[in-house]
Amino acid sequence: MPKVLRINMAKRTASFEEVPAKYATMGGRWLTSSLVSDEVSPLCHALGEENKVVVAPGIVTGTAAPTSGRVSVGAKSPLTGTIKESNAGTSFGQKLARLGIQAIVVEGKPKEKGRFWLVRITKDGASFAPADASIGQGLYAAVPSILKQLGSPGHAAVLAIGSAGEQLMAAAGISFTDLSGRPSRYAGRGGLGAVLGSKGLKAIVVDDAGAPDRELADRTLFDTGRKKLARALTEHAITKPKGALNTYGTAVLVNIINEAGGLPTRNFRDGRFEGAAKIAGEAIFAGNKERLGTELYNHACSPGCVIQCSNAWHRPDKSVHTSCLEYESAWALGANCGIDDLDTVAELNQLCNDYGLDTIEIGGALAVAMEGGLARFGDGARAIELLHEIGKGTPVGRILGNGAVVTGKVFGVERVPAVKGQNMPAYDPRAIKGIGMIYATSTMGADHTAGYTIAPEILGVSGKLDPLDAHKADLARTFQHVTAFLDSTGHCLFIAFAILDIAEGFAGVIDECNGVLGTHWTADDAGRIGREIIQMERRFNERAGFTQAHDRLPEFMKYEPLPPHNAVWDITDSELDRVHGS
Amino acid sequence: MVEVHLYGSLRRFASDQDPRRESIVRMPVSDTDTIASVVGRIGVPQQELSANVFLNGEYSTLSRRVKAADRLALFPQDMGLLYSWHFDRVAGPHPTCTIELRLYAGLEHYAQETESGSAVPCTLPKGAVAADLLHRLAIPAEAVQLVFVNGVSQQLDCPMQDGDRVALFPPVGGG
Repeated sequence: MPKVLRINMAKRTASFEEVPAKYATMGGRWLTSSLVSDEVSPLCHALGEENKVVVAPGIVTGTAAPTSGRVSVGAKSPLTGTIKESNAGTSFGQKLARLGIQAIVVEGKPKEKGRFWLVRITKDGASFAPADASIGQGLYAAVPSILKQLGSPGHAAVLAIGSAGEQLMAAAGISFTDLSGRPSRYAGRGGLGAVLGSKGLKAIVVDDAGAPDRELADRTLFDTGRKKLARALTEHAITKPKGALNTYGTAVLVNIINEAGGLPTRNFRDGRFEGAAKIAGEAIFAGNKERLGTELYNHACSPGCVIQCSNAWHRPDKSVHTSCLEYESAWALGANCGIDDLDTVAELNQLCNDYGLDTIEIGGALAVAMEGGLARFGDGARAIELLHEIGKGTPVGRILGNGAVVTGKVFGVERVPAVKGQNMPAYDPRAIKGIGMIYATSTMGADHTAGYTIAPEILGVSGKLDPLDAHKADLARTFQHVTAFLDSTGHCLFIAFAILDIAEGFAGVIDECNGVLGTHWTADDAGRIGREIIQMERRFNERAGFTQAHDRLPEFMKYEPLPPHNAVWDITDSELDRVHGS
Repeated sequence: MVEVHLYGSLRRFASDQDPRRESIVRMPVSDTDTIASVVGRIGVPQQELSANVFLNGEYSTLSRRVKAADRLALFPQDMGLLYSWHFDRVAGPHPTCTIELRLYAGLEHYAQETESGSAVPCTLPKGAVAADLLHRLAIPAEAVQLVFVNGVSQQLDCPMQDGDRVALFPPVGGG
């Protein structure tokens, strides 16, 4: 029977409980948001006694379902003050699931400040060890040590916070190990690393040696489903082997969004970056080919991934500089800062990984700081210096490490592209109105993964701008619901590229869930479950003090036209309120 | 002149093919040119295109007119990340048209697992033409000999209306 593992950091105890019936069919975001809603007071201080961190694999994670190596982490966010779920691609969740752990709940706050602990989970139970030796090290040194100390070779994965989380910075993410044991996979957004830091939890090691396969309610149905999904993934031009993502990684989007005129440049001043091609997925592929003398296709972040979009950027001496350089990171640390040198962007990415930081929020903070005069746009060397200040916690570093909004306040910058305290990601809403509606109305601040409506304005064949109508609100709502469901299955969101084109693939996901759980869901249930999750999250936020007034974009975007389209943000408040139905 | 930006495997049609730079072809255009005709003149096969075709940063179908000083961007099949089905998901008052498409004599395999002669519903943006149906299903123009729209033989530039029944046949011989 699956269990919940409760880790109490005040008492330093770890205990296993039966999963209450109401959570029986839940996984991933559905489970983290449910537990946070049920157990965390929405008005609590995010770094205080009452906040909790929930770690949950998805519904099908840990089975043979393709591309299902995702884990969700939830809490009240210290960055936004809303409920938060952040999602990472790693074997960590798969190992939890195989050990029969449906969720970990980290609760309580130790009286002793500044001491950190490790937790080790095996088939025999959970235990604590002091983390003193890891403090003050970068994660690339600390995590391999921790793995060696507490994990058996080939069986262990690590969740860890870096010095940013130890210093309670609101841009602190949670790192996870990839298949090489590097701390390169991230549940990056929302400052969840700081919440773990406030509880003195440095890392969790999960070792699934000796664990049996997951039990399935209906193996035949499950197998039918996973085959349908695998077929869709291997057929679709984007997700298939040597398709877009396997060849160019997510950074293939740099050139596409740049052409669409929506690539936010130099703190959202422009929608096209003259250096875009130099930091795009094509450039990464070409640069690796030049330096390695051979074509390098991307690799999987977790066992069973068919898409394999994770890249590794190499130095001229053929050593790995950083993995993985995602679209969002290449944008945040590149175009948004006016930096067009891949080696510099790679170094900034690597430093974020080493210090335990969200690349998007840090890129945003750096860009706001550049606008505020702390550095010139494009000054890569200075950006690297500032990243080290963040890791070391100097006063300027602490400002930047707490994100774009804090940085804007301190440096007198009004143009901060944030919603509910979180910096926007790599799509300017003035050019791509659909994603703007998501930024405004998502339950977690400006978030591109809440509902990936990155289809640009339907300008139609005639070239006339289609008038905005209720349909856009419907689309924004539907996308958020479907996404919330997918975030709960444990599948990577990138399967959406395939399953939204190939209906059979979507049916396969439903079959898999029914095969694992013994439920009888249909595609309608996927929408219903997604709606329940979003409504639950919105209720939490309401109780935390959020109103419709917070579902808005920053004021400057209403007045400042964004080249090349010279568009402003002109969606009305009532259109935004229609998304979640008012 | 239209400035055509080429990406991925399509860079081979430009003189500067370095993926770290811009691969641009400059094409003179006239009043009657469309994206499709410019693409044809450059020599890019239509089936190599994804749906991610941008005219001045606007997501466009191939039948759209082009004019001097326009910027056209072409992404190949393996780079069409922006949802091409966005047009399909639009319902209600939005300007699209729904076509009933039937494929015959070997063309069926372009629409997954459809039996010969069974109807495939397709949604296109208003103002689309028959050629856009081919583009949507990645059917090369030379694979289609006959286009029937509501029972009448038409050319590929025939405009599509909501509710049209379209049938496509390959070159067929007979005796």
